[in-house]
Amino acid sequence: MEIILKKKKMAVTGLSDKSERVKEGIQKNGFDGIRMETRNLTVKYGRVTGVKEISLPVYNEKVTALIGPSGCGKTTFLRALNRMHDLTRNATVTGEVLLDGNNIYHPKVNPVTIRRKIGMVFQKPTPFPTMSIFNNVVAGLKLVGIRNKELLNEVCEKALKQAALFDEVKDRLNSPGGSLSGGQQQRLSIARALAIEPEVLLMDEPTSSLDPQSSSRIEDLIHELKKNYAIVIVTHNLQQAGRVSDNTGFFYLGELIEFGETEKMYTNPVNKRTEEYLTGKFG
Amino acid sequence: MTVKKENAINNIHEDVEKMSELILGQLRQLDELLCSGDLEIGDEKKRVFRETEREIDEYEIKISDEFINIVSLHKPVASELRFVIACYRLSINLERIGDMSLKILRILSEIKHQPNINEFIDEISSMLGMTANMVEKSILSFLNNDMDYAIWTLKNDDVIDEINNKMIKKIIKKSRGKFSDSQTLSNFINIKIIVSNIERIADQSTNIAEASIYYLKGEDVRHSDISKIESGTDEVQPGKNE
Repeated sequence: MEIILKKKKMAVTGLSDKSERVKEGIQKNGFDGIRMETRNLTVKYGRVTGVKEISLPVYNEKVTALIGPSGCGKTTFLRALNRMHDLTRNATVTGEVLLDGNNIYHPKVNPVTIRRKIGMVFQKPTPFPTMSIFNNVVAGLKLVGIRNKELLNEVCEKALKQAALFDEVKDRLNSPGGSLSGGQQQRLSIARALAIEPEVLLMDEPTSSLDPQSSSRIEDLIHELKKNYAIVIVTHNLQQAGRVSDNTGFFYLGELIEFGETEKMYTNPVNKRTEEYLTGKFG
Repeated sequence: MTVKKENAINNIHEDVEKMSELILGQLRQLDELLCSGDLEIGDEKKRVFRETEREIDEYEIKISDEFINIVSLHKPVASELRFVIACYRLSINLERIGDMSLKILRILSEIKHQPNINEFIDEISSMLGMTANMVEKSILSFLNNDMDYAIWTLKNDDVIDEINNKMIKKIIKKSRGKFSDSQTLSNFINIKIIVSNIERIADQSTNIAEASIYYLKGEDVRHSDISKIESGTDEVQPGKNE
């Protein structure tokens, strides 16, 4: 059944064969483990620069955390990774964002296709409140025309299990998504993002509206998910970034000040501003 | 930095400083005893020495508590994390130096009237003087962010090891043929214990220097080659490199 899904996905995503070859190259040779990469990425809102010339790798099976004070460009950068600025008036993006070696901003690449390969989880849980839990999970697949009930059931179960929600909702899949608790709704949002089998998962402060226990469950989930995905997470919680990530990028005033292994950055940052931000001297 | 975190870090810093002062005071007293050659240690002196030792033990526990509280409540990172870890490591090493100093004082007061001690007193005094200097420099390297003092301490450990080896050879040589006299043999064993304790104090000072380097450079140099540690000693202001 998985093969069918993959075939369907190829059909709907339609990225070039080169992309598949690069992917195979990553799996076979490591390709330095880079799944996604930005090169001199600049995002402007009219005349205002959101982020400036950011070059940053996103590694396969690793969690990359983006930290920095409010307004430093973390979310702007994250949204550029799946072309969400296409929907923002006056936003211009220059530079390159490479997914498996292909520039996702190439004129021939469909942004909808890209968003299926690069899933996004937002700060606030975003279930369709009146839609059933089941339909919430498979909404993305239905949108691209997949109607096979058996396939949808299988994908739903798999995604809910990956999101560590299945056991809690398996007996009420027809209940509305809005009936779940905040933490469960966020895991439902994650399940929906996973259902379309993305290659990269972007998370924009996924636990900021959750209580500590729910946050902890999401963190455990991130730890599990990174075995299969490249994950980029924006967080204001420095301790959380330290706990969940392998690499961290520190943004300040729209620039990437420092990028490196989280353990190294948290014990011995190279840059003075990183040190000052981490130790609470500003931000 | 929040005021509470700043205060907590300042407090642990002050306590390490106070504990260090007590240790250096103990070593100074031992040094003065040996330099004067008069090993007549009065009861009052011994009592004060023991009292200070107890105070040092209390500081060890206090610094340990402060360390746990800072880590659990304030979640330090970067240079702050390295600083409190170094404080904790220093407190353990300082406490051991305190124990060894007290041991040296006890043995000195026991063998004061024995003739054999006079043959060694100058060398022991010189060895202790050098070791006390190492302890002082290692502590100063931490308190004053001075990388040079830390390197100096690590380098001098080899010198102390060499002196230690020479002393042991001398003890073996001098004690040869005197095994039948249990008192004399006991004296030589005691001299050996004093020398070994001084050597171990020097080892503790290198541990302090290593903790200091960890704080200053963010590198764990334990069990490393000194030449590698020496290279790249610029930019030692913790967290200040642009």
